Amino acid sequence: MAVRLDYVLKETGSNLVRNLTLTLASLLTVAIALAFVAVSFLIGTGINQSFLGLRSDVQMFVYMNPGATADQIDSVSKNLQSNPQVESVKFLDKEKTYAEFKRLFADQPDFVESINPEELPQSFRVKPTSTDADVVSAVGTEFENMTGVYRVEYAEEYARQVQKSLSTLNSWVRLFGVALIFVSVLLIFNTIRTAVFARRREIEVMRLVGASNWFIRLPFMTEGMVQGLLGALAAAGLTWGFDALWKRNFVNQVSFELLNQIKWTGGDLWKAVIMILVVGAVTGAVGSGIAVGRYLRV
Amino acid sequence: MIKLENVSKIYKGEHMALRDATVEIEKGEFVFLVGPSGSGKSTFLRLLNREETAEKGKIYVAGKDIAALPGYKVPYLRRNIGSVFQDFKLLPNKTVAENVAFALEAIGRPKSVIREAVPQILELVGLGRKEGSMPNELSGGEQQRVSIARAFVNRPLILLADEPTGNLDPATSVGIMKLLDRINRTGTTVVMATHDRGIVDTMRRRVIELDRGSVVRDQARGVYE
Repeated sequence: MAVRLDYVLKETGSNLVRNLTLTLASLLTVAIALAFVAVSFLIGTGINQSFLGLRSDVQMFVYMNPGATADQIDSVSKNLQSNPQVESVKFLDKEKTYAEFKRLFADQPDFVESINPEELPQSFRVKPTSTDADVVSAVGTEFENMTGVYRVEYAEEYARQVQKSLSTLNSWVRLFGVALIFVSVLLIFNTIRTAVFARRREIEVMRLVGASNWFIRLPFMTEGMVQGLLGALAAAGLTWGFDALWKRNFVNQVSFELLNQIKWTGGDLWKAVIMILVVGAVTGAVGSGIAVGRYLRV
Repeated sequence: MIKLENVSKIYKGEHMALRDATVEIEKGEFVFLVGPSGSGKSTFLRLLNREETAEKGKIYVAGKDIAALPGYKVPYLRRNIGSVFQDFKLLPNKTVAENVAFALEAIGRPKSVIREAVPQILELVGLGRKEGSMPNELSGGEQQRVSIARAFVNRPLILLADEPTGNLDPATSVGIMKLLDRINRTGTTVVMATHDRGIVDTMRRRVIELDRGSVVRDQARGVYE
């Protein structure tokens, strides 16, 4: 027999209002837990993205001897460009190197003065296709021995360290997020169970008069879903606030060395919000379905 | 209508609440279940609407072996069986009319049916003017009438009553018994567990006596003892 929609809506509404304090309590806990989930997701995404930015910077420098001939430079350049492991190559000639040099040591004009542009080594900035440290150093060794090459330098060691600490941080944040999802599931489940317990007489009567299990279950499930959704909406508000605070206080602020690298897009924010809405609704509905199940055993 | 064949019910593997009971009840009968507390009267009733299942023997209700019913069909069995209890089991936050309507809503009856059936049944049990009252505003006898109205509003084939007068004074009990008798006269089979000697002796209906789970007496037009 079909369950009437108006009946389900009426029951859901009146039960939510009747158990107002309980509803509010669970709503708040769910909101806070889900907000934590969303925030940890955002921070995790931000760390990943800052890490991507850093990885794209992993470079290798091939320095030429100051006295390298045009032929030698040309030969190294061609070899670099044809190497399958190399994504892009940028050549810094004497002028560009000197310009860069002046920029780097702008605060030490005496030092800049003392250097003859002719003495500066010309160099190639190489971006390998792979960020894997082993691949990068293999490419480097290949060019170290070419004539005219002074030496090869890697950004690799620094990158490797940052990579390690960031991915550790990232996995901790993810773990925290998963734990919080688990906690919010338990919270919703527990609140509905209390609500079900408060109404066990009604359930008993419904069973006695021959209500089908789905008929008994459905209002509880929509109630759980509405609670989960409301909690998630509040959590979305909190997440939005967090997003604004973070952007204002950390992103691109020079004073926060590592934190200012952690940023996310508006799309990520939406993803986080949709995720907690779905988690809220589904756990609310499923949790109450399970919670009421105890009382339906025939 | 109801048939028990060598039915035994054992609680927690030791206590035998019902012992090899064989009973047949025809459609339209009025049956008293008597016996001391703990003799198995409530278990007998609970087995009929499958709130409990028997360890041994077969139970047929309206021709069907109810142990064989899959769980999802049990609600349909219960729609044919009304239940009345000593403690009424009314919902305290619903009015008299809502309590009765709840039984119809719960089995998905359309609103038009509910609007018609509820005042009609309340009139039948003599509560035509109390439909807007809350249960705690009613006397015990009136509350039991509401519970009977709820059990009967769906016109079940069978009405099970577990000490329906257990909480009521004798004068009020007489009124409740008259109501149950009237329901029985519509063709509904009534099975009532009771301790009330006066009622059994006055009504002179079939009496099944239980003692420590066994049927020790089954007497047409019987008395309490």
